[in-house]
Amino acid sequence: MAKKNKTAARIKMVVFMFSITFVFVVLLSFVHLYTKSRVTRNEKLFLKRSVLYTADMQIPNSDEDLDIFFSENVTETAGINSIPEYRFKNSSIVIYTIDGAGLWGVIRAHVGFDSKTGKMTGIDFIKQSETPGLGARIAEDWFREQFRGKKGPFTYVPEGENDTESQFDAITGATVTTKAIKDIVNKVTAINNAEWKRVNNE
Amino acid sequence: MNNKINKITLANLGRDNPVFVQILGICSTLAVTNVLKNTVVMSIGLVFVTALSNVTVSILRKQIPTRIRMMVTTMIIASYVILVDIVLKAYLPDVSRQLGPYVGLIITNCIIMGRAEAFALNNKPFISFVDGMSSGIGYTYVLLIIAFFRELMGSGTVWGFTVLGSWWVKWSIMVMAPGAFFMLAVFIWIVKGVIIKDPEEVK
Repeated sequence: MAKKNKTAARIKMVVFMFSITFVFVVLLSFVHLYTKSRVTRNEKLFLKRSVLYTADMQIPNSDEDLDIFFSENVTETAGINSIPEYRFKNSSIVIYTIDGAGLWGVIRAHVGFDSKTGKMTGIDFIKQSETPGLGARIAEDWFREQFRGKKGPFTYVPEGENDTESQFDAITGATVTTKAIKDIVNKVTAINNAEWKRVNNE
Repeated sequence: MNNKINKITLANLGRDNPVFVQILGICSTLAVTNVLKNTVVMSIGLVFVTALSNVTVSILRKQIPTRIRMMVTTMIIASYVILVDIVLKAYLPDVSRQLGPYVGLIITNCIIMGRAEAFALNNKPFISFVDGMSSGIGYTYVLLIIAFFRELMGSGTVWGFTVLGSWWVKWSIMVMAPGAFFMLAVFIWIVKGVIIKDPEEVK
């Protein structure tokens, strides 16, 4: 008899755990489905804003204007490793998406070039997990803005000391991140140069 | 009843404070206190999860088989944390991007598990809600104080606005995890030495 009770208690445990898991998973699935379109839309808007920021163009204020501007002026093609590349109508600006190895994880950036002059139009980081307050300062304005109008290959100098076209300010205390950024911009500069040569030979 | 609520709230804010007395939730104290803004969002998330998981555990306390109660509480906590994560992604995408993996780490915050295990399993839903809420607030204000000083000394800013001019040499250590250890230790030292003196230690 006692043995039977034990078995019953065990079965009750399994059933209880199973049903409570089931209930919570169903609830979460509904919330997920309900917000899914919103989440994907937020991500798309974020990417679009980042592309325009990188191209140094005016970012429309409303989400609708941003969508309209994009569908009229921007073409997205599969670039390096089939991650997207953006080109603009009546403009020689190209935005590349590129990955690099940061200190804690992958750094994914948008890097823009004016393919006529080979100068960078800007850089923006769309994914990074660098140390907050140190490496993560790459996302701050002063760091991103310093690349506009510059031309690689790049070298870095201590904070606040860059004065030529091919230098950028490093981040004090974040050497690994700074090196990663140097690799990213130099890699993408080489890609852009090759692309530029190819277009001119055609 | 009112008396009990006051007593629990006061205890969680002071004498039994989860951070500086029970020394729980230290991992997140180190991780998110380098910038004030992240701390606020993290704390709101934690208050929400602690309060609701306490209520849920309390409602189910008579049904939950004792031997698997930890599994059940973890399951409940995890569900609420995922809920917070989804809501942030959908409605506050910028904050969500900044916090990154930290939201998911609320699951591992010992305060929530501790309150569910020590309080909600033996008490009625409403009083468990009060307990979860006040534990969360006890955690929040300690973190805010730490974050304020870390951001000020480490980046010279408060809530992202520059307060200390260029004359201030930023303390890089303050924005890294070790800085939080120092800050927390100083905080505990001050609180325990000045405000709540343990009668046995004083003598």
